[in-house]
Amino acid sequence: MGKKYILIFLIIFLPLVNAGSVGISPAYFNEHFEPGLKKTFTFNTFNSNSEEGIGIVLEGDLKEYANLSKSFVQGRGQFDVTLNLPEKLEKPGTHRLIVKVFESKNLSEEEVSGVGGIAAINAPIQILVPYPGKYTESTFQINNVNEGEDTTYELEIQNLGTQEVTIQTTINIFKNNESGEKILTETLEEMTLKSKNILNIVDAINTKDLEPGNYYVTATIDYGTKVFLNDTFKIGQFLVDIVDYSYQFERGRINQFDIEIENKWNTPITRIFATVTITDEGKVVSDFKTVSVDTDAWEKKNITGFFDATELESKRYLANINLFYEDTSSNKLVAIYIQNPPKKESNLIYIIIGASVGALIILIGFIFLIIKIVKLKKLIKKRGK
Amino acid sequence: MKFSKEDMTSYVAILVIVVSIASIGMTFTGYAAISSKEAVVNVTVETSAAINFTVALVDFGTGSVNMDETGATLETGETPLLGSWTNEPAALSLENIGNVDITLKLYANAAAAAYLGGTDPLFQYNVINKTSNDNACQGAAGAWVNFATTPGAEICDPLSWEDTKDEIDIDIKLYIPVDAAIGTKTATITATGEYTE
Repeated sequence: MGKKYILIFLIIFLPLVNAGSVGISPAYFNEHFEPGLKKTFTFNTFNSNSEEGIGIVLEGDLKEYANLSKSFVQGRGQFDVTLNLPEKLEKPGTHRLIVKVFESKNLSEEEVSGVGGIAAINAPIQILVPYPGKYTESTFQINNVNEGEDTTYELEIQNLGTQEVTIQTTINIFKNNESGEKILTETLEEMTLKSKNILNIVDAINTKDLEPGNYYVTATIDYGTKVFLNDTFKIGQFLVDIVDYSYQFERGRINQFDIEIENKWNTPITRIFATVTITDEGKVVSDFKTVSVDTDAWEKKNITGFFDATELESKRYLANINLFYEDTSSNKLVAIYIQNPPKKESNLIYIIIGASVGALIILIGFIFLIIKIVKLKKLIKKRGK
Repeated sequence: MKFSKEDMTSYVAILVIVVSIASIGMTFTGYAAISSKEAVVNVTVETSAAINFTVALVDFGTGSVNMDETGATLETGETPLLGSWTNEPAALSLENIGNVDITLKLYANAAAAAYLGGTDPLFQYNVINKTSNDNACQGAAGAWVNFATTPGAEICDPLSWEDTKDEIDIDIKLYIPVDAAIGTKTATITATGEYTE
């Protein structure tokens, strides 16, 4: 078979090698629909390289109602998008006009070679057509805290319907998860929200007396229709917990000892390290100290030390892991196991088997030869007679 | 008492100096009399969506499929397999340089068959967070995915804008079958970002 050549010529030209960027500001516009609305939106666009051009195009289902002031900008510049909405948009919900800016590299066919990246950004102009009647959309978010603190939450309700709504909101807190014990209920004051308006509530809930742990929260928004939102939050305690640790080691070598820790506090805890003492029937046989690490709030991390098992027997030992952090310590007593290193496979058995088979073959050959000689002698005797 | 011309000149000069100093003093006093006022500086920071291909080109160079092989595999950051290509180009790198989170979509101007041709070619990408940018890209596949043409596939939702976690690498893999057409192979990959809440 002859050699086949598949040639890939990738000619590198400066315009593609250079980093390419594009940006647009503002990143979006949100607007409520009004019949016959005429509005101009001004954007700034930019490329980190002033020599490079930026192409501008319109996309989306409102494209037919919009015009661009320019379709190309060199380096950086401003442009307008003018929107002329019709008297009616049939479909309620969000309609989008996408303003797309992209790196515009005027390269010849030969210049554009290789696998090159082009940056582009979509800036949506979102026009919300109200839903007929009563309709809202909401978000709910609650924050982690430390024990003894009140948590805060943020509830946003948008009236996206054509009618005004009266809203009754109830917040329930459950221990651990949604099937856990309900431990707190807070009913918010009834509120009226006009069409196209947004209600944003940022408030605190009294969680000072709640225990550290995980909590599940529901926010029920009732405006004739019930909307259920949920989130979770944690109440932290000043504790670094030992979550996992190495427990199997090899005799006759220095082993890595990993301890997985978890910061249970809603704030970073720094300079965490452990000392580990290995004992055999109460007698200390080895000890070591790990490196020191910092943790973010709620972060799990490994800390590592090295355990010398060169002189230890293969058996079960006890390891006392003491964690130290910010003038506090916690400890855990655990069992660890030192085992013999895995045996190397010996070739001796194969040598013995091979030698035995060889010897057997030689023996059979020798017997065969003797039989042949005896038969030959008998034949000679017969012929002699 | 008689004044000489020199005396007159001296007195006039002294008078001019005194008047000048007095007027300067008055001016100073005038400034001092203005009470300090509170100044208000208003500034609004607009949202800005922007991305930057910090590495915008993958160049595998020139080469051929080894004799008696059905195809060669080229991968960014790896030694080419079963081919004579020698380049080990780095992955494409992209950074969110705006001040908002964005969803990121990726598409190529051609899929594998149109780009490379031949029997069962591959043109794939693998999105990973750049070193020291853990959690930059939510939904980063971490696996090889075939390039699609427009509208493309969503690769990050979101790609964070926070400075410590806003960069990703896009590894590229090509499988060039032995019967792929000879010549220059060109592909353009467009990454499109859009503001997300």
